[in-house]
Amino acid sequence: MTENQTLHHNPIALHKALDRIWGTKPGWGRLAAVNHNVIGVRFMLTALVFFAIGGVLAMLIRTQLASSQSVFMDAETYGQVFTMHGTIMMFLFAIPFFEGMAIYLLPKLLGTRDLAFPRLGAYGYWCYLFGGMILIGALLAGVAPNSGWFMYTPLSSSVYAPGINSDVWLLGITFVEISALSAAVEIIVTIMKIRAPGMSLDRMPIFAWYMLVVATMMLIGFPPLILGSILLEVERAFDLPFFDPTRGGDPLLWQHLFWLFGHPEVYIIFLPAAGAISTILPVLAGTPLAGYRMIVSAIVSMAFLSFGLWVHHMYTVGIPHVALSFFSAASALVAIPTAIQIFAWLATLAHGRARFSIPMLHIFGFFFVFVIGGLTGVMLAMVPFDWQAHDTHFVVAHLHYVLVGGFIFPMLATAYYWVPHLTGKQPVQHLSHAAFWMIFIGFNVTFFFMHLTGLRGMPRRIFEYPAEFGWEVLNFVSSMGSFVMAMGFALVALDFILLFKFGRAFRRNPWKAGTLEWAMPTPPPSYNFASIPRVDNRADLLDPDVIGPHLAAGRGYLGMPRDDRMEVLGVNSVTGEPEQLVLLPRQTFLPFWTAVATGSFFLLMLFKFYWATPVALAAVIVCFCLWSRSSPSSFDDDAVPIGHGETVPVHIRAESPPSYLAMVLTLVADATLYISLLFGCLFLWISAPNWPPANLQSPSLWLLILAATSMSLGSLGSRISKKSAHMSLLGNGLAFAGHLISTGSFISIAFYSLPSASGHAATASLFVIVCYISLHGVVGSIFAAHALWRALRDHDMSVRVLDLKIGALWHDYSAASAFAAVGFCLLLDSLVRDGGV
Amino acid sequence: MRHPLLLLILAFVVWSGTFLLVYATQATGCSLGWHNNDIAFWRSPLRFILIVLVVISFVAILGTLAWLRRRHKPAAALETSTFLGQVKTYVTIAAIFSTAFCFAGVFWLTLCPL
Repeated sequence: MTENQTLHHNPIALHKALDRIWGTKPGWGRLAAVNHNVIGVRFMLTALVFFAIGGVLAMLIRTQLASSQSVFMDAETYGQVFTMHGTIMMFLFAIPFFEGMAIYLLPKLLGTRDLAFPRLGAYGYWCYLFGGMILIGALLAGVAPNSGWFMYTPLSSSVYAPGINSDVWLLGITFVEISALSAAVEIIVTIMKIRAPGMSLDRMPIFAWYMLVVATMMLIGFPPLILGSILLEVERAFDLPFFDPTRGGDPLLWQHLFWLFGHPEVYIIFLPAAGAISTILPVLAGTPLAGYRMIVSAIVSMAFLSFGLWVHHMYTVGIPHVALSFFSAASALVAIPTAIQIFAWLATLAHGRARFSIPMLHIFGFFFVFVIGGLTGVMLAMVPFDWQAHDTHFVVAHLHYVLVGGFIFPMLATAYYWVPHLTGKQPVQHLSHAAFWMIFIGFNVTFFFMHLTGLRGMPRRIFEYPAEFGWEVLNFVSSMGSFVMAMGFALVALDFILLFKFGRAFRRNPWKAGTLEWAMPTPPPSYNFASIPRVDNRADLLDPDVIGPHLAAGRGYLGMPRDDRMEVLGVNSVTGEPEQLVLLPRQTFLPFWTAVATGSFFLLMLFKFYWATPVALAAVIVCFCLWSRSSPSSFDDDAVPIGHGETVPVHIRAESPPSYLAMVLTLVADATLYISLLFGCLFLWISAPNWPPANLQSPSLWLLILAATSMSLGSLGSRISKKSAHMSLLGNGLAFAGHLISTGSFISIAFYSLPSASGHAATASLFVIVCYISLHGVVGSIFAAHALWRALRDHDMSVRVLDLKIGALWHDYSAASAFAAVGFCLLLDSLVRDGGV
Repeated sequence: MRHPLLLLILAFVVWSGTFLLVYATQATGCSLGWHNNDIAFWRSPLRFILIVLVVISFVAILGTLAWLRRRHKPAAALETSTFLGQVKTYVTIAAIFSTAFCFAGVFWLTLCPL
């Protein structure tokens, strides 16, 4: 028998062959891991370590506030502790944990072997880890951020925070957010393109719908925060006065940019948890999820509405009534899609016969706590009430009810439900009940009474309070409750340690679920499925007990390893029919080294070695260029058999390959940042004091036109190069030259035509916009140089066009944004001269 | 703009655009003093502009619903197509309601800081 025939008849031999290809190497090879199982678990474990650190900080806060006579911490230490508590819980725990959960679960639920971009996932993880380590290192060194987790200016500006504390936050969090954006792109592309054949949109598991919505929200929500962080860091480092009202800046610009991210962030945290509940609850109730279509409609609506209520954190800053009404109405409206989900879950429970297991207990905790948080949210959405309760402990209580109810309880339900999948062992559950009740009671004692403390007027973020204000007993009760809750979490940790050590083994599918993640061995092998299933029903109504052995025997798609390639199927995003064979990159150290290079850029910025940052940036670019090294020419096969008598092209020949969609999404995020920047600058013109500037000297119109026109040569060149092999050299040469001329012109405008950028926010705005376009010119010239190199080496441009198509997208976007920049320069000049206030 | 998922969010994209446009127009109008001059029976040109913007958006989203219902023909399998059609309708109705509810204040609330 040939090797292939052996594999076809022997699941064990097939497993060994696949594991050799997909598995992570031991020792140093672990740093080269790209497998989603490894990366997902690393994300979740790292997030839990940060959760423990954030929890210890919470205990320090409650110890300090337990008594009005407390001398436990001084104001400076307290500032660092509460800032780091919020920062860790929001940025280093909640978002990364669900990213890890999605990275681990999504390919399994979608019936495939890995995510679309395994190296991107690994790079995101290292960025997250290194960024988090910068923040924790600063905490240990006593220079942690101390201006609150939302870093309001001017408190975080260099005048009031001259140390590196704020820089640690701005640079560390921006570094961490690279992982959020990379995860967003990876998740969207995977859900759209890398599914099991037959899994049309209406058959997708509900969790995939939730993650599709969440990842899209991240793509739009994070760029304003990244922009805000860049602008504030630029102000602190180079004195560009975006937030300084004495020079045409406005602290409110920070609040707008922060909350444009910050409010959707709440839903970005809640929705994955809700997706997990929508997956678990029907299994535990023994009946299909009620209102699948209604839930999909609700989460899409919720995603949009959540972006329309950022100002509800800013009701007291002096915004006119009519504008307040927009945000107040949106804040109230968003309760409706939330309620639709709650009622769908209740209907599911009512239709079935619920199993009162540990995950169900935590789901009960979620219902109780989250609904209370939602109700106090509606109270705070009403402007008159918010004016009374703003910045009091009532808000602290509300946000903890929402976040702990909407994330921690579902997370624990999720953990108890899926840990058997991860470990291959079932819980012994001796401590689980006690742990739940301690957390539940401890939480409610802590935070229910905090509502009352807030209604009695106690402000947030104070480290001491007078005894005679009547807040002491309530604070003491809250502190007692928090320690009970902490003990509950310690019991959960112990419970899981016992599970790992003494858990009972089980065969397949312990919960009798209908989703595909149980149609594989547990713990899961590196490749998930020995062969890929064809889905002929909704993906939560399947029978893993039947499908599992069928797939393990290699009877699905791609049931035969081929040339040591990591292969998955790419499908039509609507119908789910196979369209392409996607070849994934093998294990590599490149994501690790790229993250090291990226980290060195942030560290150089942090320690003010600005002169050396271009070297780090060049290192990052070189590392990314190495990612693009392609593999053997056999990958250019025209049509490849995938099993069941079907053939498809390899992804580089396909109409709509995953990386093309990824570039579109990247540009969507990029455009969001750019639009936020332009709107931010217009906001300063409208609302900041000290406008118009005394001497706004606009750059030369001809230089602007030359710069933008040259940038459009990139776009033109990429079109010419598509016409024929002979034109390729000319077209790409034109694109390269266009980008170089344009970049040079914009840099000359930024550094020679404009007045000093530190003089006024208007010139600072123009300077940053021009720098943004210059950066795009530099990247565009790299794309063009790569295409030119290929043309010079006589590569067959008709076959491998994917990287050229991706480059063309970049050229088009750069040209459009360059013309927008020229238009903005002219508009600002006109507004300042003729329409200024 | 033919991908079913883009059509699914079309009405809320209009809502989002309206949100930004109405908020930006209100802030710009207040900054430039558009609320101080009377025009015919309108208390201020700013209110008039905002009402026009809201009405146009509302009609545009209603039109979106009508267009989506008219062009609904099964491109994919019938089941998938029915699913997408139903979700599109629900989401568009939510956008219509959101537009009416969020922007109703332009008819009577104070437009600018006193």
